[in-house]
Amino acid sequence: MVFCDDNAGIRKLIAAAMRSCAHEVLIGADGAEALELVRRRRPSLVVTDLAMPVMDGLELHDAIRADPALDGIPIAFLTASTQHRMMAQARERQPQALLLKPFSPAQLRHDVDAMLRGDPVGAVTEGTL
Amino acid sequence: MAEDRCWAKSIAGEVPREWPREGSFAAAAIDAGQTLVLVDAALNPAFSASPLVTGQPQARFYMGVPLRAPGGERVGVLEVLSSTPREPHDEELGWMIDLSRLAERELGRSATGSDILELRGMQDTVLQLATLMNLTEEVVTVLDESGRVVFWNKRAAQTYGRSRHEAAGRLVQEVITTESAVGIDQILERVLADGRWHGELLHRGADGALRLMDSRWSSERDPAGRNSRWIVQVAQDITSARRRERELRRVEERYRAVLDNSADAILLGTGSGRMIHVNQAGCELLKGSPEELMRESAFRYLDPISPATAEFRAERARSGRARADVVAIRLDGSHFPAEVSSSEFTGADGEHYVSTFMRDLTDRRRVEAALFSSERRLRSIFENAPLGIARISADWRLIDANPRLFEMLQTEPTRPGPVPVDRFPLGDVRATGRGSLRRILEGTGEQVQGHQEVVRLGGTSVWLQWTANAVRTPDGAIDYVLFIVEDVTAKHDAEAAAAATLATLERLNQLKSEFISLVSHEFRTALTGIQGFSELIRDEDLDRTEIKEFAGDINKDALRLARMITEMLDLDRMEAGRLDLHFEPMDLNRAIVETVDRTRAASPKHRFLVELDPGLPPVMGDMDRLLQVLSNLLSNAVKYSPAGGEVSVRSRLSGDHVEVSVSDQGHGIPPEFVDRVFERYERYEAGPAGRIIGTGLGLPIARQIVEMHGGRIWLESTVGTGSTFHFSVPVDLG
Repeated sequence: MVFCDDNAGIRKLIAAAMRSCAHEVLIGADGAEALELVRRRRPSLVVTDLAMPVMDGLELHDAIRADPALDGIPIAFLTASTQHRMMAQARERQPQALLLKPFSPAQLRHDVDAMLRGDPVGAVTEGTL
Repeated sequence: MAEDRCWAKSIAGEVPREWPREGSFAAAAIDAGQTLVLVDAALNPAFSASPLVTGQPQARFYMGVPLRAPGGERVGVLEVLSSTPREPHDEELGWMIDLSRLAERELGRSATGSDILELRGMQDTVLQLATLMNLTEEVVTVLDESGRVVFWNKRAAQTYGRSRHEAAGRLVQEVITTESAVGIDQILERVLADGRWHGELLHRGADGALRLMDSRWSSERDPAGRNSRWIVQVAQDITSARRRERELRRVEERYRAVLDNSADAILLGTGSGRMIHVNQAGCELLKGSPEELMRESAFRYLDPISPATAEFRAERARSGRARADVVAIRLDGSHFPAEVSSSEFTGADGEHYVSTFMRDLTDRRRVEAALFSSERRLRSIFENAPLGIARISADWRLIDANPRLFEMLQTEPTRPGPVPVDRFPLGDVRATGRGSLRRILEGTGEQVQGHQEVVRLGGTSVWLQWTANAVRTPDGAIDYVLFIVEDVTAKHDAEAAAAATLATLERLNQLKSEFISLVSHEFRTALTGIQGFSELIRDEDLDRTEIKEFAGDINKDALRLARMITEMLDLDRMEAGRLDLHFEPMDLNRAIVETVDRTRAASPKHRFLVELDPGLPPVMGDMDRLLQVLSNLLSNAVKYSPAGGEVSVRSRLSGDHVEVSVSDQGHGIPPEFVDRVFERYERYEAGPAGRIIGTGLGLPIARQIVEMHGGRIWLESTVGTGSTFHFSVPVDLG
């Protein structure tokens, strides 16, 4: 699995949360780094933040989808954003799941397992503050 | 002339004494029984061999009139010969006939010496008479009793279209034709019966023109008593006289019609003051019958004590004509304003006359008064209207415009009279005005309205709202276009200000919701660490080191959250003027070094260059707040140059201020955004690749702090090269 987040604290939290997971977990600090990991490792799942410098989550999604060699990799977004525009753009891409921060580590593990099985992940209601 | 030979006697010139009858001119004339004329005998085969042609007198031209004795016997020929070929002239033939008649008469007499003398005397008289007859303007014809033409003067030849030669000896009915009802036959009958006839005869001349003759016929006894009677006609051409008379009558009728149908009173008088005619209008105007009115002179009807009357009379006496507006008096003594004009003239009869025209001005005066008052009212509206008014002709000339319009357009009225509109410096208002005029002229609109900004001569602009209306002449053509212009600048400005305020509010509203989104994102990010790590500590079996580490992370996120909340509250307090600063003399260089050290530790990608003025005087400031300013500027420099690069910080003394500059090599900020970065909620994002995380409160807070220190903060930036933020604070002057 490849995760991607520009916030170091959150990268650390994801690593700790997914420690007990059976899959290998790789975490990029921005979209470009994550894309490199995806190309190299062809993961079973990509979970990425949206707002990031250099290459954001939407661009990462588009780059993966544009590459035939990376066909069929499920992608999910994990974001703290509540901006209408960005959320709409994310939803347009029909991700495997759209998960909101803050999150419970246990719930994240649960959702990741579900996605790996191909099960639907509970629909995200658009949050307020 | 004998049966077989001819002979001749000649007083002048040479002729043979005797020659054969055969082939002679005379024989030919006698045989013909009428005048024989040969223009050139040498060319005529019948005579070319005649001894008179071949020998002396070498005759070429010949004219011969046969002579008869009183008993009718043919006795000879009266001849004229000439050695030069020529045409006979008209007079010549007449003379020959006259002479032959005389000769024939004398043939019946035995000639004595006294006879010859008498004959010569008679010849002279006849010649004189004939000359007279031909000189007169009247037609003279003399007929014998049987109606044959004996004499026919030149005027007769012209009038009846036949020469005397052609007419001589012929019946008068054959040579004079008339288109009158009465015929020549009837006239002859009357003359023979009554001795005279007088009447008008109409003849059509050879040129086709009709002539009217006043014709007098009389029968005279032959003074010689030989023929029983002569019939003499003397006639005068009265065609032109009649025509003149008719024309005169027509002219008179025409003038009489003018006189009688004129709406003006016309009084006609003699030079001596006697009135001879008053027309119908005169009777109505002066209220009297022609007889009553004509008892007095025309001056009776003018107010005698008015100076206008005196002037009028004096002027007419001086120049023979005068015109004046006077007070007139009717027969019944009532008064009315009148225009009177009078002139003297000399009639065809040599007499002096005076014609006087008089017109009642009562109605006109009333209309003029009404017009004057209406005109004054309109003029007053035109001059004092708060609206600009202009009349523009169809050929795009300014007929006139009121002062208000010139005031609105800040231009000057030019000389009076229509002026091409293009002469005024009106900028684009001309094009629009012209467009409206065209629409009206093309008939696509009778009224056209417009609203536009006009840049005036002085460079200031004004908003004008105008209406153009076609004003038409009674026949429907466009007389002019009336432009009514209103200065709506104030209204327009108010609307524009309201719109701007609304736009600002809308933008502020939008910025605020964006800000809330951003803050929410930052809060959620911080909360993610707090929630996630605390859950791990709670639910999982962690070793002590990990617990401590996660607790540290939780603490960091909590502090970050607290800082953001503080920032927001600070800014609110600063903006509301409710934040207290603790001023003390402080060293800005020290603050810079401290902040750079802290930033450098967190930003391994960037190189930091610090250039400090070692002689910098202390400033009066709040150390914590100025550290906050420096920290914000440095973290921005790092944030907005994500690819790394150099961040330089400089300090220097500038007048009584210390100036600090922070430069980066980042994206840079476009000029249109430079002034806005210090505004609350504004945050420059150069596209998705430049997406920066933050609340956007850093720079507004920095500005508030600097300004509270009595300093200034500003920005220089070039897109693609980087930005430099400067701020200055006053030196501590003790």
